[in-house]
Amino acid sequence: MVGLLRGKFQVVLLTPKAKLLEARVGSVVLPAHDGQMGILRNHCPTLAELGFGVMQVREIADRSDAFYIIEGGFVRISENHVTVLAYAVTTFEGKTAKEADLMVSHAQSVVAGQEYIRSQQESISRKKAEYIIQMAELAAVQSPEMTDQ
Amino acid sequence: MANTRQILQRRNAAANISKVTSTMETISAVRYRQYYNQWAEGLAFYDSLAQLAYLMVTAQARIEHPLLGEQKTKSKTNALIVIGSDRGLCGAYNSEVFRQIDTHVRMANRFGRTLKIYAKGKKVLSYLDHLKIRPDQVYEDFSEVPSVEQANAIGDFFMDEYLAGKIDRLGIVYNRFFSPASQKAQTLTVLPVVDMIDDLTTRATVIWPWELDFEDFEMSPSPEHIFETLAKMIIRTSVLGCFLEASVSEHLSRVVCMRSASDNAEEMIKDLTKDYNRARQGQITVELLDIVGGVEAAKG
Repeated sequence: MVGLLRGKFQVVLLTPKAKLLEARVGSVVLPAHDGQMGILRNHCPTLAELGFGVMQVREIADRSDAFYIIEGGFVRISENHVTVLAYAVTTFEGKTAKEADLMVSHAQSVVAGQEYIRSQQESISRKKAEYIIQMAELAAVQSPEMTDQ
Repeated sequence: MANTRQILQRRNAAANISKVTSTMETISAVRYRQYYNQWAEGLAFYDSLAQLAYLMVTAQARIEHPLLGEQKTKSKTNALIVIGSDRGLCGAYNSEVFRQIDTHVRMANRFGRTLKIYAKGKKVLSYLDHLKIRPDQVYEDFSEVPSVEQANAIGDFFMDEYLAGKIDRLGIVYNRFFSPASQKAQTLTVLPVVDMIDDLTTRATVIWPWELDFEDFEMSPSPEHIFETLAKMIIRTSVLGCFLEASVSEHLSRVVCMRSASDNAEEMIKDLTKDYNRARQGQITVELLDIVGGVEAAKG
């Protein structure tokens, strides 16, 4: 059983404009339409609709865990391949610590109700802002260098 | 023979044109690379989507959904999204789209259907003006490729129209980007969604090896609901994909055209320089002969 749990599986995260992740990972938590959904190796074949929330990818080979905010989509799980199709994804991946900090502080100001200062274009929904903060917390727990500097 | 000043003027004109064309080439080359990368990365997404769609339509259990079945009321109306460019100087890019419009207009007349046109791009508008067709809507709130939200809104609009029985079919006329060596204007049928899935599955580049059927999958929520969301996703993302592909094609064809225009201008400059030198030499010879003649005359 332990052997089964430790096994890794393939995860691909796709949007119409980019392939954001392709890796062998230990576990994934997805924001399904009706709540969070955890996936380990040898999950049964599943088709599920995704809602709005944070996707957590853990135990990626040679790197720290990754987190993505997913805004609706689909997941297909079959034969240890997890394919996530999403409309739009927000992430800290590929961003510098400074950019990530900027995103978080922006999100915090939205949650604090100060979004009217921002221009219309930059504005994000309150829910998304909350998810950004949640994602930052998750990432910070994982890697200390991501904390506010 | 033209005098030297005229030749100089023409050479300057050619030089100016070549400056403009090479600038346009550079700009389009940069945009092309951006859009091309997006397009290339998106391929995997559309492939996976096609696989899902294929799974859905090959299901043994019948999925009942208004988007999948026949429409109850026939409105005899076709909707057409036409994607052209705002600017010219991109070869046959727009005229190929125009030819498609012609075909659709003729077909609609032949079969007594109403055609609703939703246009993008100034060139398309002026052509529709020429045909005396008034577009139902013009997309002006984005420059080339819509944002995800905008594309979703467009997709949702047509889905609602279809479900309300206001349109029977939706096609997108755009320049499809097959590869950097080949682009062609075509019409992609988006609604009814079965036609769309047909197209998606034939254009997908991977053959899926797995032996799983639709029935092997655990569904969450119900298959009907999943199908609805999937159909929605297919329609929304195909709108986005078409706009993106059209932009890739536009910039590539502009790069190609502008490169050949710049090459031609360079050649012209070379020829005109030769002409200019020849004319100048001729002028000098004539002047020399005049002087020599004058001296001879003075001697005599």
